[in-house]
Amino acid sequence: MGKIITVTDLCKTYQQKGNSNEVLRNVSFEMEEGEFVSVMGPSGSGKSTLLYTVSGMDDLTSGSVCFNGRELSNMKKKEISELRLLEMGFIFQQMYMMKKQCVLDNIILPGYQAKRDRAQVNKRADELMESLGIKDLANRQISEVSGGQLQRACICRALINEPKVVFADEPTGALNSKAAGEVMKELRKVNLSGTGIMMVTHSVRVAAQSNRVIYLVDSNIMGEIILGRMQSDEEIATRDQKLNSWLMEQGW
Amino acid sequence: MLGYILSVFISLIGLFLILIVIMTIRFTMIAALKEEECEIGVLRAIGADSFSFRWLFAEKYIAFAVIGGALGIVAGLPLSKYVLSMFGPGNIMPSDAEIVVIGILSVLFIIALIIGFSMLVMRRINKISVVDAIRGENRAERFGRGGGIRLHKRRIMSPAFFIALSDILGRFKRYAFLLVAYTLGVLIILFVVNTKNSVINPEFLKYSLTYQTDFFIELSDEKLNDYIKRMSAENKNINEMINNDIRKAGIKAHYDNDHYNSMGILMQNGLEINSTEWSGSGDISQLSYHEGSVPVKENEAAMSWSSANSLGIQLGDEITLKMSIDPEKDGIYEGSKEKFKITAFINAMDSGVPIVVLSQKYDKNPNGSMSYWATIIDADGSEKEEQFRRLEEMFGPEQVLDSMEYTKLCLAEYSQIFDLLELVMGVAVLFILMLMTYLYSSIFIAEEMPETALQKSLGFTNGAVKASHIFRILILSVVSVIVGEILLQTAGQFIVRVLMESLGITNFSLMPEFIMSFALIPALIMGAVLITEWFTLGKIKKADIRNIKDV
Repeated sequence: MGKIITVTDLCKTYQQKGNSNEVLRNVSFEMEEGEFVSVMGPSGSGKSTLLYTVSGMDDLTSGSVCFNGRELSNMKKKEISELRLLEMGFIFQQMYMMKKQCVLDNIILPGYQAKRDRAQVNKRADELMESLGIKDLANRQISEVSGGQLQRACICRALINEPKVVFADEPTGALNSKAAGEVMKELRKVNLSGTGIMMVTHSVRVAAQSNRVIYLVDSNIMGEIILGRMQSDEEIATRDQKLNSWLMEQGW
Repeated sequence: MLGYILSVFISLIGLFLILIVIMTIRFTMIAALKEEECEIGVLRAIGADSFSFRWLFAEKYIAFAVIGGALGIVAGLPLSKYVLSMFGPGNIMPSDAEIVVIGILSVLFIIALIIGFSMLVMRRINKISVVDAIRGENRAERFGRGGGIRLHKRRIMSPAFFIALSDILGRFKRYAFLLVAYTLGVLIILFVVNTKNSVINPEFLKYSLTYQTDFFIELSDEKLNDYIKRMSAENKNINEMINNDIRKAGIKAHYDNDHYNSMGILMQNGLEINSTEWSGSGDISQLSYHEGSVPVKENEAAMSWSSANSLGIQLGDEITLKMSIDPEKDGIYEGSKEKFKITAFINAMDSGVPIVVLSQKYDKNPNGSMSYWATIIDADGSEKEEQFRRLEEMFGPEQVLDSMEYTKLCLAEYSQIFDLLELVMGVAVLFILMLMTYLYSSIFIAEEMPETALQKSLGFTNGAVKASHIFRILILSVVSVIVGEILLQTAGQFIVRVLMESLGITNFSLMPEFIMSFALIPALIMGAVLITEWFTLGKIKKADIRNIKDV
């Protein structure tokens, strides 16, 4: 397995009305293809910023981010957009969807935008929705579905173009525990099929289901722990405990 | 007639502007309200009363109205004087005092309208739910249906076009005013252009009894002197001599000039009304008849419809004309009261002086002057062009005018006025449409920043996002052009017919010039709004992931 993401000395500073705020400072890490990485840290540690800079949605101040062998800072905006469309997927905490479109149209939108064969895109959407148990919601408006169902629709949308990596920013943050459990189950399934996941989360239970956890504090990586691939739901409690202890040692 | 037409068109554009102002106030106020919904909710929650917010929001617009009104008077007075002066040196200009008073009254009216309307729109504040406003939810309004079309059922529709179309269909109310503005703008420009095409048109000359104009000989001074010298020798007038010369040259063309125009008095219902009589052996069957049959018998006549209508004269009625006639043709004229049966009404612009056309059989030789009613090339198609070319060879190309050139010569004053109207109204309306496009687009872009950020996060390029905005304006402008064209041919035709009938011009209908009306003007309007939209879209680049939170 090769490296899908390589981040070297990444710095991100926000300038606002003469004040500068250094959100990320010399962050370096790597992610393997098909790996499931969680990023944890206290509020304001730069977790979401790390996600957005690594995915090219935000510019980096300095350093380098290499995605699938391509250096983002050498790419034009249009090329980064294309990369995001074809090789990345996104899941947000708030289940952002196009308000006026139905669930299915939201899912296939990136597929059609990528100019892929429409019949193939529709077929893939059907398969994804079937696999995530939301096939009967295809023609519903997004206001007519529950949070958990909507998040699963977001997962489908993120996977429509068979991306290399799915970036998830607090995917269970707005869900109740049952819905959160269901979503995490789906994400693990996605990861098992070979898609890498880089996830930001506050929840130890959620992070414990990933392969590796990176702990971010004060704009830098304080440490990381390898949990290995989770094989079954029975392991959650043990992994949760292990991660909790480790985080306590880090000062969580 | 000119003054009347000018008044109508200027009033049209005035009404259009007022409508635009009202619509724009409503739209921008509602947009501002939405933006500050949370603050309003908090204020209401802590007990502030609704009249004070309404005043708080409305006072900004009122201030703009007062300042704008004051600036409008200062800048508008010299500008209006200049524009008025463009419409011909012969026009009687209003006095400075009149211009100032009218200007001030107009501005005060507009300010009052804006204040009243602003307070009305602000009543929406009462409808804001305090809880929803504070929570920032209001899901019912934010998450409506998407217009009924489905992307997954479309085989070739691009995502950008789909987003634009579904947005318009799903939130039609949001675009209704812009659509109305575009449609009215299209309608006004088309109305002016088509009215000009229809008036500055050989067909319009029929209203002055010139029923056909295939050519016209505008003699040079030299040629005119030659003909004048020949007049006494040949005992013919110039048109008769031209006819002879053309016939001798074997050219198939002639002036239909056997018509005599005399002044008489129509005695009707105890009144004596000045009238114009036409007699002679020239062809009267080619006139534009409103109703009835061509006068044939000696005692039959046709009358201009507008005067007949206002005098209550019906078909079959008998009229009495006091005329000066020379029945013996010995050069001695005598007054006579002649009775005629009205067998037809003609479409003619009589300006309140009834026109009576006597039959070709009436031979009592009224005291009048000769005139021609038509210049006819007795050929069709390519042969007609050949005959025209021969006329040019005979008289010189600069002296032979074609139908349109002659029409413009006859209607020179009208032509100039219409050209100016086209320019002034065209520029004004285009400017307003571009301004509205800029304003509405800026508001749309600001409101849609979160969705733009979402699209960009999914991998849409700036170009793809801009495309949906361009498509949106394109769809709106195409629809408004189509609706505008339909309205022109329906309501527009009706309005112009009523207007012209009030001037005594009956059976008038707009005759659009195809390329101008259906291609050039729509392209110009659509091009202007699309270019404006393009320049507004620079802000799309600024949307980034931080904007996504409000979706």
